[in-house]
This record gives sequence, structure tokens and C-alpha cells, in this order.
Amino acid sequence: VHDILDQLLDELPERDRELLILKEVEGFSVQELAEILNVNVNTIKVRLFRTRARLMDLYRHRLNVDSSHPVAKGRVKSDGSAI
Amino acid sequence: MEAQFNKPACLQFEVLLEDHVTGDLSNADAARLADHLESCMACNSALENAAASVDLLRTLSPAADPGPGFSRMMMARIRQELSKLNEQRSVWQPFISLAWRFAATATLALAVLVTFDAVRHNNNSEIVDLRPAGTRELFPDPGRLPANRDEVLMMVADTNHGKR
Repeated sequence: VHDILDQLLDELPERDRELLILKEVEGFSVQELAEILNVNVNTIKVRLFRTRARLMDLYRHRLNVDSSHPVAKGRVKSDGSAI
Repeated sequence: MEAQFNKPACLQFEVLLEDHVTGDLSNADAARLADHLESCMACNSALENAAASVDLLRTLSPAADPGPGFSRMMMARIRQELSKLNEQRSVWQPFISLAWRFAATATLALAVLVTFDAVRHNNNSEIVDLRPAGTRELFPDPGRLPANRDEVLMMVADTNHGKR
């Protein structure tokens, strides 16, 4: 899952990938990101939401699974395996 | 093969959907969003995707450490972007800078002129008329007394040899 996820993140536009990593990996808050990038908080939220949705679309496409699959449903263990 | 993307969520609900994903949704907004989700498949699908990606990204955090240089690199890039933004904004900056230079130069020139004038005025007022009584016709300029004997003679000659 990690390898696939790395590849999928690479497929995202650079700007969106950086934003998602800053939020989810680096732990920046939406307010902090808005201040750093000098944009509205809602703009950050919309960009994050679209990037998340797109990432999962790419993930489903990569695994070729439907939305009923546990991995695609998001039920994933911390080690990356499906519950 | 191109990935098939789901229909995007409704624009006016994307902020609420993101708040829902991150657990920051207020009660009032939650009720409004729930009403909308009952009738909107696109938002339902996008929300499911986004929520699933949160769990997926959680698997990334402990394993795929971006490394100690990542934060530094990102902050450098952010600073670079910010400086670009500042440059774009300050179209008038060269003119403002030039105006300040002119103002500073003008102030300095004015200060020099005022100082020069004040010093000159003081010098004039400090000149004491040392000419002896009766010789003032010979030396009409009290600001400039003869420096030596030759100058005395020249001045006497200029004033018609002391004759009235």
C-alpha cells in the first residue's frame, strides 16, 4: 500500500500533493496553510477535499476494486493491510 | 488507461464536506449537509472517497517518513513562493524607492542650505568694526580689513589718497 500510495501521490499535481502532505504528514493546520500560502481558509479546504477525493479515485483505479472493497472503503490497518 | 473519476461534489458543499472529513463540522452545518447528502449522489461519492483517503494517508505517516530535509525544503519553497508573490505585488516599489531617495536628498540639501545660511549670518554679525575713528572712509568695508601694508596703500589710493 505504501508503494502504491507513493506512486499515486506522484500522479497528483505537485501543488495539491504538497498541500496534502503538509496537512496530513507534516501536521499543519488549515489556518496555518492558509496563512503560509496567503489564501482563504475555505480555498485550502476545497483544495484538500478535491485532492483527497482524487487520490482515492486513483487508488481505486490502481487496485481495480469497486467501492465495496474494504480497502477502497478506507478500512485499512495502520500497516496498510485491509481489515 | 485513464482513471475514471467520479462526478465532482457540489461546489457550495465542498467546504462542509472537508469539515465533515476532518471532524470540524458544526451541528448546524452537519444538519444542512445531511439534508443535502440525502439527495446528492455526487457528494455522497466524493465524501466516501475523501473519508477513505484519510485512512489511507494515515498508513503513510509512520512508514513513509519524508526525511529531515523535507520540512526545510518545503519551507524554502514556501519562502520562495512568498517572495515571488511579494515581487508581483510591488510593481510600484521602484517608484516608491526612488521617491524616498529624492525626498532624502532634498531634505539633506535643505539642511545644508539652512546651516550654511545660519553660519554666514553668524559670521557677519560677529565682525567687529575695529577701524579707528576718522579712518572709516579709508576702509569702507568693515568685513574685510587690509591684511598688510600693500593693501592699506591700495585702499588709500582707491579712496582718492585719503582726500575727501
